[in-house]
Amino acid sequence: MKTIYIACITGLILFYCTSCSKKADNFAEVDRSPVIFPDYSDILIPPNIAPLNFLINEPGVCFETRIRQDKEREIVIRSKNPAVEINIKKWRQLLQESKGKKLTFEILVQTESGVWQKFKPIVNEISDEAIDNHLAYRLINTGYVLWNSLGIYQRNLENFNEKPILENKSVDYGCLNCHSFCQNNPDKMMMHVRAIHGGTFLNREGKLSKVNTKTGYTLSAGAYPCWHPDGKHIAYSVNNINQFFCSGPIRIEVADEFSDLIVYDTEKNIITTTNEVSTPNRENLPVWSPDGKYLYFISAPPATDFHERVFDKYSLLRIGFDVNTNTWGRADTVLSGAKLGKSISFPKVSPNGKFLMFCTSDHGYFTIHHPMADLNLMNLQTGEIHPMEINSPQTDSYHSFSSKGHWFVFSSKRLDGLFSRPFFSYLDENGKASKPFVLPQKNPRFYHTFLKNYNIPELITGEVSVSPVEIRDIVLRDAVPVRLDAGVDTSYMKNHLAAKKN
Amino acid sequence: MKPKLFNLANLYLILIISGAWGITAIKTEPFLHYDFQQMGFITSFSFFRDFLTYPGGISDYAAEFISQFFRFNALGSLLIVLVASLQGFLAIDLISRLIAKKQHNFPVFSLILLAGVIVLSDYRYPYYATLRLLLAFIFTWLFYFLHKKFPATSAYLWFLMAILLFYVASGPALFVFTVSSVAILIHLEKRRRWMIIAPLLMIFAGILPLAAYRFIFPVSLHSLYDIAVGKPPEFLAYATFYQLYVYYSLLPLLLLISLIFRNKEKVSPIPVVKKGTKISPVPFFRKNSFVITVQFAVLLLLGYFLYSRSHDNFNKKLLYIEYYAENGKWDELLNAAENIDRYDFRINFQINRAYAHLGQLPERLFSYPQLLGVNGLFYDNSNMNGSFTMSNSDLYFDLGFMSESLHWAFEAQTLLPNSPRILKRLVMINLINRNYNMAGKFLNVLDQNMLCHDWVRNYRRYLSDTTLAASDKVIAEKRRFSPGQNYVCIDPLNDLKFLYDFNPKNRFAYDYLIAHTILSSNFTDFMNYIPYYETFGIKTLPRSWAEVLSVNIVKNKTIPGFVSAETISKDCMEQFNRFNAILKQYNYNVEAAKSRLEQEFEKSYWYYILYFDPKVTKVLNNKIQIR
Repeated sequence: MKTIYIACITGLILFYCTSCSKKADNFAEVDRSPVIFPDYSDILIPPNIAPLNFLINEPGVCFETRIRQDKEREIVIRSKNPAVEINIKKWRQLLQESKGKKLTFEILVQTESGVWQKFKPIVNEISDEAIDNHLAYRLINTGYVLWNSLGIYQRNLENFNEKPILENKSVDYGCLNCHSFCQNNPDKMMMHVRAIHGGTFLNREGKLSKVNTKTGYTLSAGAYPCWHPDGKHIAYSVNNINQFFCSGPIRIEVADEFSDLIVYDTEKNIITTTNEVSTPNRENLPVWSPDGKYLYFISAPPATDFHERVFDKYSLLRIGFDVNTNTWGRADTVLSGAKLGKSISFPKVSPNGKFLMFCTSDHGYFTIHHPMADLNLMNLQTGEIHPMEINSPQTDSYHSFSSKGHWFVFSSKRLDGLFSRPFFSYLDENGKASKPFVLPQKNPRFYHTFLKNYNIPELITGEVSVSPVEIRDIVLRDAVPVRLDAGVDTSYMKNHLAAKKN
Repeated sequence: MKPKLFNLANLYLILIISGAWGITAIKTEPFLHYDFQQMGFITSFSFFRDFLTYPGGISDYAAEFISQFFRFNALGSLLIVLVASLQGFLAIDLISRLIAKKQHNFPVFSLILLAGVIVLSDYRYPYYATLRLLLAFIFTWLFYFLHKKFPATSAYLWFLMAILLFYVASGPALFVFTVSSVAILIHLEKRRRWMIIAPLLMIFAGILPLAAYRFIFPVSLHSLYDIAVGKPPEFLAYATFYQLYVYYSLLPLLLLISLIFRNKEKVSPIPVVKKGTKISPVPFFRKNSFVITVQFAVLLLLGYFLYSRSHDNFNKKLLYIEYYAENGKWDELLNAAENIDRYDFRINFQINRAYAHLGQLPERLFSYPQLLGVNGLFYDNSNMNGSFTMSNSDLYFDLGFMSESLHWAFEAQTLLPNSPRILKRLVMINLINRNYNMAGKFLNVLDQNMLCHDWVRNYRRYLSDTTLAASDKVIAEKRRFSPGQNYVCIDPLNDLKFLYDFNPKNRFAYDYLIAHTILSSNFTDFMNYIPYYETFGIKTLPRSWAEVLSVNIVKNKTIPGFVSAETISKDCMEQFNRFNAILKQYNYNVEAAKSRLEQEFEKSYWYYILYFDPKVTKVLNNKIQIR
């Protein structure tokens, strides 16, 4: 017994002596910043974000990280492991006390020869403005046609908790997609269920329902959605879409053969459309202006052959719509794709109505598979357009503003060229975006092994309070069919559909 | 007195365990389960965490862990037999404690072992069902002891055990536990007491999954009540349910049956032997050794009967074909296919690949009846259920078309996210495409599979030293053949033309291209591409090409410029003349000439276009029939 005790104590002493317990006092300065993953350098940090855990990609046997605003407010992490996992309580406190100030990350690495190296500090800034505290997204594998387990999840951005909003294992493995929230409100949401138990699930502040938005006069059930700011109407595209597999940098093309727009009144259970947005052209991806008076959308000419279908460019249009009277205005071109020399997709207006952020690619609208896809910003007051400074050589696509309009999230494949990850950036009053950073994870190696895509990241102001069990029970019910607005010219829609089918 | 360890009963027990092991290893061959189901156990916490989110998840996790060792046939068989034996031992321990008789031990044990082995004769069998049942056995066994020790409070403890068992092993295991517990209570309790408790336990067990579904777990209701949960992918959906129901009902049933023997034992009077009377010898048929021997023989026969009824030999052969194809054992594949006398489109597909790999496709294209035409070369994916995703990826990998191979590998990975085979394919394609970062990511995931460390170690070197990738024979060849330019895949024929046009040295693509034109009777493309045969050093055309060319020459009454005296063999021309002569003999009545032509020309293009071509047979009009 005595021998065991002695062995244990010796072991502990040895462990203490060989572990990274001593502070690095003597070091050699290295005239460059350390390589860390994910890249959390020169960024603006929301004051309520979860710890930005990272991996020090420098060779060494011992690692010391000092995160400080000033000498009094400092977090020191010392470890043999290059993975830096920051204590969440200390991090929160540090961030709250450092709003609007610089935050320095000092990294020291002990080499195998025992010499400590101190790298140039990484300097970040803490924003005064908090980001919406939850992010909703779909997690999906990289299969293009088939699916298995998938779900729509919500992640608390202030910590690392991720909860399912709904997983498809509870609804017989149907496909879930196109989750959408009304002005970042977690209590006003919708999502589609396809293939099995098909329909559109709606949560209007606790009023749960499931509807079938397909009518005999429209191309399909509602697809790409956008809530009207009044929280009662949702604009949808109705599409006939296919995908094509390719060789070369673009592995897959998704193209619509036909597309129109509809608006769904959630209270009256009525859909409406007009011949201005149900034309032979391909109207797609509707989005409301923050005042709710205009519906922005993209449009491409009718596709007469396969080449046009895939390689046409989309323009940005808008049309007036009065939700009180269900009356439409005339469609106007806001930005011509042909003139821009790019195809426009995923327009989103900032909540203050000042900017319109959109995606561009060489052709088509489904940019997530296009490595050349970039984000652009249009100043709606001046009409000025510029490609955003946050773009990367890889796909930068689907984006969503926070409720206050400065923080935004977008999908990017910049980490590896294949998997889409949510990145955050801050858009200032002049339309300048801060350097983006990826969604922080507890394990900094998370993205090294995670093989699912973050699909349609949407910032929301809190947790979706309806439980997955409640949503499941609604989804398993039969969908209530919607009615067509009596004001819609049905003979026009009939002819329009017949023409498209021919 | 200590019981003898090496008595006849134990000998038979050892024999039956060894026999079960042997049969599982030789006949069932669990490595085929591994190969078919693509078991991929990952050691990461996030993998484990997913199993905590639903009832039964923990036993599923344990099953995933155990079943990965099915890859090693002997070890996998041993594990299967050991788990089933453990169930058997628990059952005999329980029953012998309840009825204080050991005569029934052997049949009880054997029946459970037999059922535990037979369920695996279906290669889609989800092994978690066995693990869940094992937990039900263990909980029942524990309940017996708890009840013995705390008879007053055991009923309360039962409820706790039921909740725990439901969480770790789901509803059906709970039902087994419940009925078995009731049987134990009937054994041990007074009628008045068990009559009150038993219905309570039954009602609780029936309601618990429903309550969990309604209020706690966002899962489907049938997943809590079904023994084998129907979940994607569709092709792995288990369907042989009667065996599973028998397996699950054995313990409760045996415990209930044991009640009969308990009562019998109570009524049988103890014989009184008077002093001086001679004890008559026990007749041989009442001797323990005889009874056990008879039991052994009967169970052996029953086992043979049930196993032979359950074992799907054709399916096993099919899996062997797939296994050989995956591992590039083309000669073995062709040998195995020769022993299958039934047409199957999957065999057709793999045989074509085998011929192409061995360089025999042009010569032996019609050695196997090409009943589906070009759909024997490329699967018809219009009605996808995921069965062919990896086979498609394999074929495009063979052809050197990396983007399509990747596309199908991703579809496969969506269905089976941690399959080592699929992850290895993703690593290889990314190495070929020089996406070292991505290859590294898939290697990271594969490295979490404890059976793949060596493979990962080997290929991880390629990331840091890219010259290793360049000098790898497979990678170098695929790099040469894989086109990098923009192209939208429309159909297999255009894909093949694209591949061949990109690199005319791609013999595999060329053979498939010509085979495609032949099987679709696409003479225009055949005549466009066949003149390039000389680039592969061919002087005389292989059989199927020559047969098509001969038809073309006769049809057009002209000899194309590329045809020399040695392009078509004399033998081929003679055969063609003979074929035509026979037809003429029957006044060109195709139906009448069929049996005659079949004898000599069944394996020729000429016979194909008259009798096998899907345009003639219209077989593709009913795709369900093909499947």
